[in-house]
Amino acid sequence: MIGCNCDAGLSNTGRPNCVPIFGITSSFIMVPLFANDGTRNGIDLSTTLPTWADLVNEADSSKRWFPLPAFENVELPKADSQFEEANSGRMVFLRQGKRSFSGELWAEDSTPTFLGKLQKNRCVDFGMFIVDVNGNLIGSEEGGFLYPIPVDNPSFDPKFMFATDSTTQKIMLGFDFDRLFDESTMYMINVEEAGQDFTQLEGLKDVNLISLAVSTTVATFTAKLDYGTAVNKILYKGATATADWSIYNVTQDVTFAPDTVTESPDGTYSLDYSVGGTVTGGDVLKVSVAKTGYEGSATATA
Amino acid sequence: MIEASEYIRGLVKSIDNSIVGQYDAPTQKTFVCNTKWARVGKIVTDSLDREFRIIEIGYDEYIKAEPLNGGELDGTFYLKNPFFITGTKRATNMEWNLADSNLENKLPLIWLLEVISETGYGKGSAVEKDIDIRLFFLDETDPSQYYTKDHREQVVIPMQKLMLEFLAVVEQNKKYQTVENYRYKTFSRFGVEQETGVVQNVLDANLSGVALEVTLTRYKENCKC
Repeated sequence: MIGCNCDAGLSNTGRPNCVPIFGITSSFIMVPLFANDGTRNGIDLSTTLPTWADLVNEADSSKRWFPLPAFENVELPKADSQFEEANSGRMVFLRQGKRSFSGELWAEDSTPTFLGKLQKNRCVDFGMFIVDVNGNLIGSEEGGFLYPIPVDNPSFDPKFMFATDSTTQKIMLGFDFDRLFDESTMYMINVEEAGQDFTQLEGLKDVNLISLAVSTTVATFTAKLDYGTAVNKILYKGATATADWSIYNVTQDVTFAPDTVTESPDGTYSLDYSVGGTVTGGDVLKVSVAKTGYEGSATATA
Repeated sequence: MIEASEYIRGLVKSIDNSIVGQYDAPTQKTFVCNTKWARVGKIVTDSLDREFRIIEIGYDEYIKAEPLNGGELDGTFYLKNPFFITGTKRATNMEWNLADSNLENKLPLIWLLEVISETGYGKGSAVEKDIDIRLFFLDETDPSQYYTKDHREQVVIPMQKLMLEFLAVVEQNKKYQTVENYRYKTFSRFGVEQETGVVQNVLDANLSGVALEVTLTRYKENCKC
């Protein structure tokens, strides 16, 4: 509840001619409230705005942005405020009602695989930047920073819905925003200021490195995404640049890139590091995807 | 607020004309996931600006193309962008004829038929307007050589795919409400029809294609201060 300011009278009510207003909510960008180093995740409005793609591709997942696909049938209802009512009929304001969200992800955005990824979010303290249909980013402005709006994460509830004769397959998502959030702090960064249409941001895709075998000169494995059929997961193809991969020698604490990358057949890779690598027998190697838009790693012993 | 035909022009301009393929030397085919509006006889350009003429196509499977300036059709290559025009039958025919003497430079054609019907919304709505449009997706056909089946296979299928690319652009643009349904007609010959068949071309060319009727709902944008 917002307290009264006893030093002031009523607030001034004038407004300029042209003030930006939020459009219809299209999607959200999930962001952990705090990074592992204890800092609060937010956008510093006093300096040049960040490169937005870097936030999505941030190596530290506790600082990363996780954009969700566009929702359909979005509703953001606000529950009634609570009052105490005396026998005389006089009412005293106690607290505002909570703000809830419900929306649907349709068709290709509604796979059970994606449902599983959403369900894991319940265990993390996170907030949401709202993205409206015009591509603007809406958050909470506080002390020169734009912060994500905190979500009451135990209320986060994604549900899978099967297709019917008249409806497509869906994931229905519902959650409550933090009940203490002050909605008067909401501001937006528009597309022109950001140089970015926020509806266009896409989250990272997980890559699984399967059957990783490493020697002192070469690493071989098959790379697949989580999505696809039970028999044929979608192959992670075309990562044939040496910059697409990173190898970390856990034993010797050394990171290096492969000398060459060969893909044959599709999705099966051989990383040769016989020249530039630093590996001796028995070392533990961690092979990681370094290509923009993807994340994945696996560990094996040479 | 922009005039409705300019909104449609913007959507047509956003249609992605690129195709990514992998060249297979033994079969000389370029395998692709989506052939979009590619068809036999059309020219595609690769990222090195080399031209190839399509000589065989398996829709959404492969393209076989002969090089006009050498090379192999591999990686990302580009189809010719559709030519957009708006107007009534008479005005469009005149303007389209004047646009270019070479038919190849103004096909495939996306024609927004006027009159355009719109519904505006007031202050209480987040919607700017509903736009009822009738769009024709057209490409040349050869009535002297083609049977009806050929018109369908060679022209109607690629134009139906061009229509789907247009609808995909609308779906990706969050300023428009999701299109729940649309109506379309396919025709082997585009022209004035009587009981006996097509008796007269509407535009001065032999065309086949698809007519799409759809209502687009556009949300309001912020004021530009």
